[in-house]
Amino acid sequence: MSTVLLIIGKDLRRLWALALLGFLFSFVSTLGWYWDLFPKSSGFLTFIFSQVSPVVVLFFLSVGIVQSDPTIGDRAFWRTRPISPGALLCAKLLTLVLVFGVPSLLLNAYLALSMDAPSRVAVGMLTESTGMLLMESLLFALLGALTRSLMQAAAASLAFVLVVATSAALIPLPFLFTPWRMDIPGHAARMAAVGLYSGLAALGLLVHLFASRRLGRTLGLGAIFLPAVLFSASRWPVSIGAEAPESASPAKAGTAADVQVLLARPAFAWSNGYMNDPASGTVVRSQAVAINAAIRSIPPGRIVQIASISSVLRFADGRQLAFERIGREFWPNWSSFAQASAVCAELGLPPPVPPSQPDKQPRLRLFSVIDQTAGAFAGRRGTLTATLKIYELQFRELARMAAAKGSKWTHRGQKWRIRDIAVSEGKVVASLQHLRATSVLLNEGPSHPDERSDQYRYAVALVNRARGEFALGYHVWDSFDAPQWSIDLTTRKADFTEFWMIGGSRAPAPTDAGWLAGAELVVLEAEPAGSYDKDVVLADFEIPQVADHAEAEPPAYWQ
Amino acid sequence: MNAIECENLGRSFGRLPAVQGLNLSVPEGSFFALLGPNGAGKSTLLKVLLNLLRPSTGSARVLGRQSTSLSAGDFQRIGYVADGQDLPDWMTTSQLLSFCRPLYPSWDQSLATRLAAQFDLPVDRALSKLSRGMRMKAALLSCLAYRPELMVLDEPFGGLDPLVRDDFIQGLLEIPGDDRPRTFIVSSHDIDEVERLADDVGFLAAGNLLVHEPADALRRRFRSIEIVGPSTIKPPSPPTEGWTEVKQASENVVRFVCTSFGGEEEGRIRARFPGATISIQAMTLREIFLVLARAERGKGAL
Repeated sequence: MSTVLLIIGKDLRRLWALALLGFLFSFVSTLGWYWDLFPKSSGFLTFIFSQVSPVVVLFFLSVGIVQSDPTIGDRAFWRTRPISPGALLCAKLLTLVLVFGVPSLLLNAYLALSMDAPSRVAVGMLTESTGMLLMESLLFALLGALTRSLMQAAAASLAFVLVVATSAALIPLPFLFTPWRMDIPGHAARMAAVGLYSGLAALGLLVHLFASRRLGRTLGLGAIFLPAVLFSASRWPVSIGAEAPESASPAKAGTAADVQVLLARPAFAWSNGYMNDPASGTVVRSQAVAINAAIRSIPPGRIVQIASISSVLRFADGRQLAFERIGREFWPNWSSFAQASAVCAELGLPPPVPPSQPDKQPRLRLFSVIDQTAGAFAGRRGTLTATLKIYELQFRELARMAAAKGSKWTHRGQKWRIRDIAVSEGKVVASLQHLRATSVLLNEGPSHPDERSDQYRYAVALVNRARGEFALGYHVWDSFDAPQWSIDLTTRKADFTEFWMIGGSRAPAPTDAGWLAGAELVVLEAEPAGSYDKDVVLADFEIPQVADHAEAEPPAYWQ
Repeated sequence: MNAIECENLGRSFGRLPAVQGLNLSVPEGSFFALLGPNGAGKSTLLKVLLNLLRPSTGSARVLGRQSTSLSAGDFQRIGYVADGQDLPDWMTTSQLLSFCRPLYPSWDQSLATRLAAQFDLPVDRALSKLSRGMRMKAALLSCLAYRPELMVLDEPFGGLDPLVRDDFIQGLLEIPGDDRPRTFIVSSHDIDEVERLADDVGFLAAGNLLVHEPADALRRRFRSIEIVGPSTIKPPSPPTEGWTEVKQASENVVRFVCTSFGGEEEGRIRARFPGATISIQAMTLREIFLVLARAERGKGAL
């Protein structure tokens, strides 16, 4: 043990300046984001300072720690001294933990505490941030141990990146390289697994290298470990379970009767394409059949979307055509009326008056049909029954704070802060900063990395109850930064342009900051309420041919 | 008891043999000089002995342990200083000694202080700022201070100017008997310098050990002989056993090197060349080494 401490002391004495720089970059960059200290105009410099510099220091420090006692070659000082390879490796690993792990633990413990993160989220944050940092430092340390100089280690790092990129091209692993894809189940747990298994592989290679001091064999093992890591990560994901839900009553979904769908006939053949013919097992020409449509909840106050459609066309002679189910991935996007209704419902405000016509009728694909089938049934009319899988969201109030610059709100691992808010040219403009504790180690729950598009998750409202007025904000995603692995930091801009009296009629936009003094800014989060099926029926339906939708049809009606 | 024993020891790098079929024993308490030209395999042999390289064939024992199983603990009894060895250059000599001290139970701080003064080492200067000779001395000091049983010096004089070299050797010679390691092994291609130190000498060329015997015996055995006859003389044909580099310098002058000179050899020569003037010169290790090296090149047996 004394030998281990002796080596740690030696390395720290040699690299203390770099280690200090590492602490500074790590703490200053993270806390700079957290406390919103970086000037808004210095984007590139902030990026270099907070994102690039820590990685550069991590590289130099990890490589420096290992290369101060070279592993390869026969000229190393330690090789002819009473220092065992085990003690040396142990010292190097402990130095990495001391230099990177301990500060990261302290920093993330502070963040978790100050963000009021639930215990499981805090464990996830600490484990993920510290684990990722140690994994990176282990990889750099391994590259350092396999080489004899910083330049060689840098070249080896580039080579490593090339090898990983080539492997990725040869072994397609979408969960690793396109994690934003929504249709990849459990990608976060797989990402976590990649990190964990990479760290273990690097550790294994370091142990082998120190024990055997054989470069060739270690590289050979590495060539086996790399695909093994990627394969294992796709096979055995890692998670620490789900975050316990908040005790608030769960959102309750409506029923099929609470939803209306507007179908603007005629349906039309939209495009030619190809699809798999289940009968022959071959790919054949096909066409998509669509209809302009809208969807709403009755009464307003919930957001309903279509997740998938299964259609069947039945003919009078009893024959029927069943079409393959089509995933719609939450069609359509929210309408502003739907959002306003849902927000008002949650805040206890009277809902806005519904428009006589839906504010948009986007194209809804009903089914795809093989050209040959469409031709065979041309001119025949039947009844089309489309079963819509309805996915319902409700807004729940998340944060409420005074509508003033610097106001903030913290609860259960989320922090909202108003960076700026001002009345400007007949509208109110706000800049909001949102920090969210998260971890890829959590497999579900509010702190699980979100798969939904950000702008469909939050809504903001300004409410001045003293004046009896409110406004719903149109908010846009501005920038996303990741000062630490486990903190999502998003800056949002919100414009409030339309103001209403509580009770219904429009109100004039405020002209001075006095309006804001008595107002509150409310942040609402969309929450999945559940899903159910709704059938819509199109009688006297004929499979359209491409470009034949000019035919007159009865007017649209809500079903 | 031998400090070093090698049996059929060999080490190759790919197809290139650096040391081959080497049998060697170095008794405890001796100062063994391993001599040979550059590339002879001296450093490779020492690295195999200290488990820095694995042997390709054969085996070696160092202080009674198989070289391949030498572990960290064994290096509390062995010191190693080599030209080109990595040193923590950012440390001062004083920091180097402080770092090494806890590693050795037998560390003698008063000896370290005494040797630092004797070597005239600037202890507060970084090793990277020291001259090559001073760095070697610092490395040597960091070994001598724990009184190793075996001290291995690999080309310690490489790149040192003559003054520093002399200073270094003087330093070694002046280490008091009790403070000196029991056994020294020094490898060098610089034979003149080692001559003052060595008890035993081994000549290595192209990975083969040509000769291994006490330095005095070697010096006694080798003589440079010149025979000047009153008239024309001819060297014996076939050459007499133990004579090498036989040359007819002129009609009445024959020179050769006798590799097995002894009490009766002079009488035999005089009997062979009656009336000739016979001049017998002792040879330095360097001269002996050159004779051996030339013979190895010509694969002559000695």
